Amino acid sequence: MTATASGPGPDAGIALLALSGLDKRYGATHALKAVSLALAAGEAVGLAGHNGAGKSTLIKCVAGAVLPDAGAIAVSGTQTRFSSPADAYAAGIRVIHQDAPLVPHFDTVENAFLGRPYPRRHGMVDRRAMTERVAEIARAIAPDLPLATPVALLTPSQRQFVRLIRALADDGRILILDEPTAALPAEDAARFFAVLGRVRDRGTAILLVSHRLDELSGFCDRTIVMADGGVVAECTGAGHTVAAIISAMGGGAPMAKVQRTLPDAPAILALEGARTRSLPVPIELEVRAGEIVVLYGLIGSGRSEVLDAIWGVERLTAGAMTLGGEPFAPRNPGEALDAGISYVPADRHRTGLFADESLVFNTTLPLLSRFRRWPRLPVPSRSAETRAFAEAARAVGLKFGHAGQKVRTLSGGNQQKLLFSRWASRHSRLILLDEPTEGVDVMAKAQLRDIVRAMAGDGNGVLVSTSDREEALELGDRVIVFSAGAIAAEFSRQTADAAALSTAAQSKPQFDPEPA
Amino acid sequence: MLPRLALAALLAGTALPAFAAGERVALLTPYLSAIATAEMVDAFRARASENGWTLDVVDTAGDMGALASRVEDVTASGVDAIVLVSIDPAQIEDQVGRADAAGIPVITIDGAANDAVALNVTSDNYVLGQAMTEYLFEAIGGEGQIVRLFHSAHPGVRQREIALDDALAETPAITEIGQHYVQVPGQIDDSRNAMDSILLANPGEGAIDAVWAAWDEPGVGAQLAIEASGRDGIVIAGIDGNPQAIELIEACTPFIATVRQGFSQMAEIAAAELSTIFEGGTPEAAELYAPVELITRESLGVTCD
Amino acid sequence: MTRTTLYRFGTLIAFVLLCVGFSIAAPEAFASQANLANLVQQIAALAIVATAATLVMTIGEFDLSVGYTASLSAVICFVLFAAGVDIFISLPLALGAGLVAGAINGILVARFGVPSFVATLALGTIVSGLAFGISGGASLFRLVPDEFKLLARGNILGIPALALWTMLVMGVAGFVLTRTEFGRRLRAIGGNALAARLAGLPVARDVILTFSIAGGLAALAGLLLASRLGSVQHTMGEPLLLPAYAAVFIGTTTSPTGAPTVAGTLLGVAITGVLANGMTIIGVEPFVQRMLTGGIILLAVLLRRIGRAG
Repeated sequence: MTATASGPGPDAGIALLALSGLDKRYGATHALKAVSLALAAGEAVGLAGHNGAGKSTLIKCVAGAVLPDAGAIAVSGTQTRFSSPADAYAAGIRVIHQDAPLVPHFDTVENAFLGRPYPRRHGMVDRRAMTERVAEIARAIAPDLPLATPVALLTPSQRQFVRLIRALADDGRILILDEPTAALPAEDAARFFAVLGRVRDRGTAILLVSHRLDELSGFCDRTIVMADGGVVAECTGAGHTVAAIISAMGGGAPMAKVQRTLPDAPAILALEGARTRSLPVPIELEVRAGEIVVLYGLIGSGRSEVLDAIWGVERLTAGAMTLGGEPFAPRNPGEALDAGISYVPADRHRTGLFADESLVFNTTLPLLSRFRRWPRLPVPSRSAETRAFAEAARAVGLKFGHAGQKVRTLSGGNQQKLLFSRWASRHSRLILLDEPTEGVDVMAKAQLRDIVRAMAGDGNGVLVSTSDREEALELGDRVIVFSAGAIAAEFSRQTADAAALSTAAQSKPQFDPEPA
Repeated sequence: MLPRLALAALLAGTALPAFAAGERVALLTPYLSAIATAEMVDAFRARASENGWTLDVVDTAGDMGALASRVEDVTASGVDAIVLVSIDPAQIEDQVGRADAAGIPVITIDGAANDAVALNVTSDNYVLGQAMTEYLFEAIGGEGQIVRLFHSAHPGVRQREIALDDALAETPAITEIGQHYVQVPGQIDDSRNAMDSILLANPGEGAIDAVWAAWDEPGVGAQLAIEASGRDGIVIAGIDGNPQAIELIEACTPFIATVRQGFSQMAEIAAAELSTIFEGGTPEAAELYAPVELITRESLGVTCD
Repeated sequence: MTRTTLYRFGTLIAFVLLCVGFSIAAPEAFASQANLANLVQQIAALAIVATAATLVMTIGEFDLSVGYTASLSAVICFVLFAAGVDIFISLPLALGAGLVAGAINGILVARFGVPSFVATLALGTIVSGLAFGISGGASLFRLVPDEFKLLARGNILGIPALALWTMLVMGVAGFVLTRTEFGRRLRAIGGNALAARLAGLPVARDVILTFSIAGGLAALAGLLLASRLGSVQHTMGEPLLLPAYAAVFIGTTTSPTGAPTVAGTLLGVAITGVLANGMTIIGVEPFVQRMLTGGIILLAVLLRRIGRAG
């Protein structure tokens, strides 16, 4: 392992893409610190780092979406300057995002030609030429892929192949893949890398960004590790292991472990051998009153699915759940709510908030019947609602103009606090929080975590699902690590540390790269 | 030899029952929901079953495009005859022409004469319009103002309107002071709403003397509006002999007359002529008419004060 | 008044201008008390069907079966009358048919995930076939009890019964949508159905309930129309469908978020009704009537779009 920026890899020829000294500042944030990197034809390089390490900014610079403040980009030895994504595209750079849109009713061939000129013959679209072009690439990398089937009928991994073909069909020479397997089950991921290997062997240069570090060490020739906007390490050869990458990524800022004294309370929630359609491996889990239990894992590792089962979104197919010692089998979220459970969903825009409605509407909705004008009539009292909202807003530290303003006018952090405020008026037996601080700024993160601790301090059982390792370490009285749909490890506040969590989260999905 | 015989027997076996069931006749109309059309269809159905024909009835609910498609379908399926009810074959000329070219006789009831059509049995809507208009004009003493409720899209109704136009041209003392194009379906509600407005637009005793309804249902709507307004001295006449209209005439309402087209007679004439065609004959004429009957308070034997 | 507010009230201003215009063109006939009475009666059935459409659109769905359901319940009622069945049995049965049709729509949408456009179009077609079959295609008008005629033709303190029905239905619907827990849940479902479900709301139950109410209201509209006309044709409710949605869409131009509201729908119904009534009074040719009606709907919606963009 060397701590300097790299030159070409061991077996590489001339650098297809060379970045030198790329630098970018956003106001006070130094997002990219003189990053240099070279990528040869037929080489696959991994890019690792925590969120905020500078990976996205680097990719945006290479894709032409962001203009670096300083530094140079050379393609095939020629200095270039990308002032738009079209420039980068013309240079043969293709960025494949994990869910780049495809037209569901179009087949592979049609999707491959989306947004670029169709080959024409006598003024008509030359379907045969299109098919030939695509079939040629498909034969080389994914011979089993049906070309004439609408992509809506393909599997998620086959759709990834379509995205690859689309990138290659128009002379893409440098592929940048952003979390290409995040939505794929482990066995499909293996198949994907087999295909990607053949893409590389055609002489394409590949830069792979992934949180699944075993994919990087298993597939790539070497892995560049970024932290704080700069390249901190390059792992190659014998040093190209998951453990080495984790240790190079570092722990970020040193953490203030908040010590909490736990009441000696009985388990409020217990899962015994619980399984659902999305959780094939039986889950054992306990949460005590006043305790914060964190479920940590990558996206798709099964932690959010446990919350789904408790909140009545998915029914148990086996095993048992008890709440306060009583058998508990909610058929829908309403029943879970009535049983004294509260829930803050992940992805507030899609599954949490009503963007066109007022703040009050969003806060009082789930427990609306508490704010009746007359106890027997289902007619909410405006004044009771406004009062309850004001109290809840104070409890979560919500910054807002007036109670009637629309949710979409709030910042991300305040929107998240608004979601929290729904449950502020209530003593829940158990609070479920899915990615409670996703996509909010540092200040808001700290405030939200204080709220979570306060909730537990009030005697609520708290179950947090997160992909944020710092958050897991900071909040969890216990941290249960998920990987590939099962519990991989469990730590107490004392035994948990960053490396152990990462290692456990990377442990299960047995990645088996095909021999090249 | 033996297999050939067996094949022949098989063919005969499958073909014979089809003959035994009689000719297959397809009856198509866009207006089965109209009472008069339904009456014609029912009468034809009765005759068809007496004659042992297999009758398929198709209704396209006012959709001319769909009617054209259905005519194509039955032509393709090789029916023995096509009967079109309440539609001018000129509106689906191509399809009718193709059926004729395929050797399938096409008969229209309440339609219009056409080269591709073997026979049109109709009540002669012009004569109907004439009879009703004459009676209505006489009832208001040959002078005054009338309101016209019309729907020219229907070929028969259009003929009645031409009869009114001709009568108005000959009678300068009678003027048309309002008209409304009636929407179908919803014809009664639509006519009532329109008549409400026309009554208000023409206030005062004697501003309106009569309502000329191209068929009975708009007349029923007009009757409701007049009744609600409490206006006197307005009479209504319609065409079709609709049972509700006859009840209104009997009950001494402003609805004073309707003309019956003899719908079932039309269907019976059509069925009789179709039999002749099936037996190898030709119809008496390309167009045949059913008798016309005027229904009034007098003909019903009612005296109103 | 900001530009946006101006556009928001544009539809209301257009309505007032229409009324003023017709009043100038036909002062005696249009601007009379008798015509006001006519108008409120003419728009009653449409207003009630449009209210049903408003409820269903609040949860982000469509119900294309309302017109057919109106026909079916009227047909059932009059067939029962003709068979000599007592009004206290035939009326509830006819209304119940509408509720059942609506509930089936709701179950198809909420439990089986059929898109509402498809589910209600299919069920509506079945319902129209039923109405046709039960009526035998004939106009029904025999043995109608006088009490039934009073439903739509009577008046209380000089106010026509149909106007009272409209006020009752729209008043209750408006109150339910804006003031009750149920209404709040419907707005949440229309705003973000997934978020509503994850907030613990009984989404499936509320969707079924909403479609059932819409079916019941459509049945009521059909019965009132039958009472007003004294006769029933199996297609009589069909012309209500498109104007009802036109009214709802005109109404959405008055709400800040473009969500349907009962008050907005009432304005939409009033514009539709005044247009038809006024143009007939001043004797506008039928083809011009249609072109103007379509044009005015477009204008209202376009103004609103421009207002939002600005």
